[in-house]
Amino acid sequence: MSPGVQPRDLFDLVPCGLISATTRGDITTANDTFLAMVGRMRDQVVGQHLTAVLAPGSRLYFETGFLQQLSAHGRASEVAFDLQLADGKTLSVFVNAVVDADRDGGTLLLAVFDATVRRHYERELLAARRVAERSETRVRILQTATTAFGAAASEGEVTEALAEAVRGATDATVVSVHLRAPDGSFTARATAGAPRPLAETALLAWLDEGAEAAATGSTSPSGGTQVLPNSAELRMRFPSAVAELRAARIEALAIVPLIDDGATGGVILLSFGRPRRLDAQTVDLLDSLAEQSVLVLQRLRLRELISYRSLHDTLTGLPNRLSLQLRLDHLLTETRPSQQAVALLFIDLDGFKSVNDRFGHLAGDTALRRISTSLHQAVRSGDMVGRLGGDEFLLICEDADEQSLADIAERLRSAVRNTPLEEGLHVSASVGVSIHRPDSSREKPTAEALITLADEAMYQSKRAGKDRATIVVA
Amino acid sequence: MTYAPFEQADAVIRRNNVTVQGDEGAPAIVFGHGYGSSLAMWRLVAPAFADDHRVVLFDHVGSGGSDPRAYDRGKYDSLHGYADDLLEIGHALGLSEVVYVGHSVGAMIGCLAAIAEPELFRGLVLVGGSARYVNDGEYIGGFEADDVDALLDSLDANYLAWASTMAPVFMGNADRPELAAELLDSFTRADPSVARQFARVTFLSDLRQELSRVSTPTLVVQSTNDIVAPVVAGQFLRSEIPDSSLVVLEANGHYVHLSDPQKLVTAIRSFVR
Repeated sequence: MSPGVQPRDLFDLVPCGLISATTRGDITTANDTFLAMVGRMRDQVVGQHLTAVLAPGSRLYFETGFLQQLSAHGRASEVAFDLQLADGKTLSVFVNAVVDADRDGGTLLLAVFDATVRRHYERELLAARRVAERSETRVRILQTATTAFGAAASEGEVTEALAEAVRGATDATVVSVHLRAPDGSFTARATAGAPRPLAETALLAWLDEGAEAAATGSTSPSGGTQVLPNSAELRMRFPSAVAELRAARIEALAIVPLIDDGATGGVILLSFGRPRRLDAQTVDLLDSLAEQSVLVLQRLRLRELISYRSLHDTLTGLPNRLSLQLRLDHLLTETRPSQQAVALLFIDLDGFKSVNDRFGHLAGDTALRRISTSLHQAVRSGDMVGRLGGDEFLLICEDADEQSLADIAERLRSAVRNTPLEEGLHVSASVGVSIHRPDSSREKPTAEALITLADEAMYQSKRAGKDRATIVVA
Repeated sequence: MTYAPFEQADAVIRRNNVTVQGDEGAPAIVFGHGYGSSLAMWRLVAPAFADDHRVVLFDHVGSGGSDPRAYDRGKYDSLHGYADDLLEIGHALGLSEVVYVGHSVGAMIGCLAAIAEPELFRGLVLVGGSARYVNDGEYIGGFEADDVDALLDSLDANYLAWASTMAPVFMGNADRPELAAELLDSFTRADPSVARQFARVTFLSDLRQELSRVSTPTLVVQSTNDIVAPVVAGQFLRSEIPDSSLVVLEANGHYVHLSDPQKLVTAIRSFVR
């Protein structure tokens, strides 16, 4: 008898599981070590399919990965599996496998190694890698969005960038951004992904209803991001839009409010084509993006407000002197296709100083506001009427002949005369008109010169007894 | 018959790595592969139809020889994105009266396409399909949500091994290893996040509510011994799809088209006759 362990004993004693199976996966032999690993009797293993000793997740991998590998290469090395133990626990293993095509029409030979420690270590590595990838993705999305927000010059550009960033953060099929108008209704401002008009309509209808409900106080503005992870929850939440959502193939939704000064200034809608949940980190990322975009939208609105204020008179809301000057400069310098006449009507209220003296400044201001409204309503659309200061107004007209200017001047004077004012208060206006006709004039006057001319014409009206108009041609 | 404009059609054909065999006038049969595979999976089944059919094979975007640049994570976050591609392939080739044979998740993609555009299809053959893999109350899909997470872990742990496995299969040229090596090279460079997202979309989708809207005559083919899509999953498809019948094949596992191709060919033949 030769020294050492007999081969048959070696098969059972070797410190790794050894199995043979048919190419269909039915186990034909297993050694003692393997039986000890899975904690089963031989007759509970031999005759069973290999997947019977695998945990469910590994079964899926066995079918969709491992078998292809074997059929393609004839072998597989260090494949990670989890064994299903008799006591319900799982055991992490590595498997080496080879196909012996000549034995019994094809036999699988497998060696199974306990890999608990290594797999535990690998799982930790995997978890750490996922955390790192996630935070890298988060930083990248935020950075890209911040850059795009910084470069955005309009609401449209901000909302486009927001929709793209949100889609990148969630893989949503469609992302749309809706901003709330002052009347409470929502308007779609940007969409990322192939737009689904039917879905848009259905959701917008709901959004408008939601806005109504919020306005009447029946629902409070939502506190944070809401996720409706499947069609059952969608049905419960939007019973009236079930058909539309289904036709639009939306099976999950997320709604991110854009909180602006404590109120819902808009929403981001994320549509998914399958049941979806969003984890806390993703929701957090969405909230950050929403918050940032609101700050940018506020900044743009402030800029618009400043630009509006710099061009409008604070008392009357009419265009101010700067605004009138810019418009006039534009008309006089621009080479326009048709050489149209430009006319100025200088309007000065007669004896307005005494109004302030007799009735007080508050009444004077009220009168100026009302007269401004009357003047604004009396001019043709396209013409600009503004306040130069004090009780002086200027109207800029394009393309008008002397006759129609006389008519406009008459309309303005009667508009002033007929403005309803406080009891005992009557205001009339003296008007001076200057006209520049490109075809007849020798050279283009400056804006300043044309205004001075209209001012002088207005003084002629004053000297001639007030409440009248004088026309001069530059 | 709807023909897409030529350039668009050409783009679709390149995007999905579409191959066509057989006479243009012959009845069309389109094969759609499942998760983790490619059009090469049909190599033992499709040729049996080339004599009397126009045989169309394609890769889903993100799989096989499809154009990786076409992978849009939002579009392919649901099976609808894949279903839209299937319709576009039909239009690009000017097909009508299509018999579509889909395996596994490819079967479910066919259902969605047939719901969206029933007039394109004459019949559906669902091989190893499942409306939902995750158990839900009384519904048996065969897996728990944790199992799907475990699969995703397995994918991460075995990614390189998986890629090296799949390469020769994709090429269908195991006897010419240099081609396989070339593809393996491009595979290991590919983004593993695509495989992970397709796994999520495949194993976390739920089409149970949709099945009653399939109006196309349907053959459900399920095999015994299939641990991915058990026979009960096929029975569920049969009970929900109005005009459907079920054939259970005594075959080996989820990949009947590889393990027992002749049985599948016979089943499809008797359905298309």
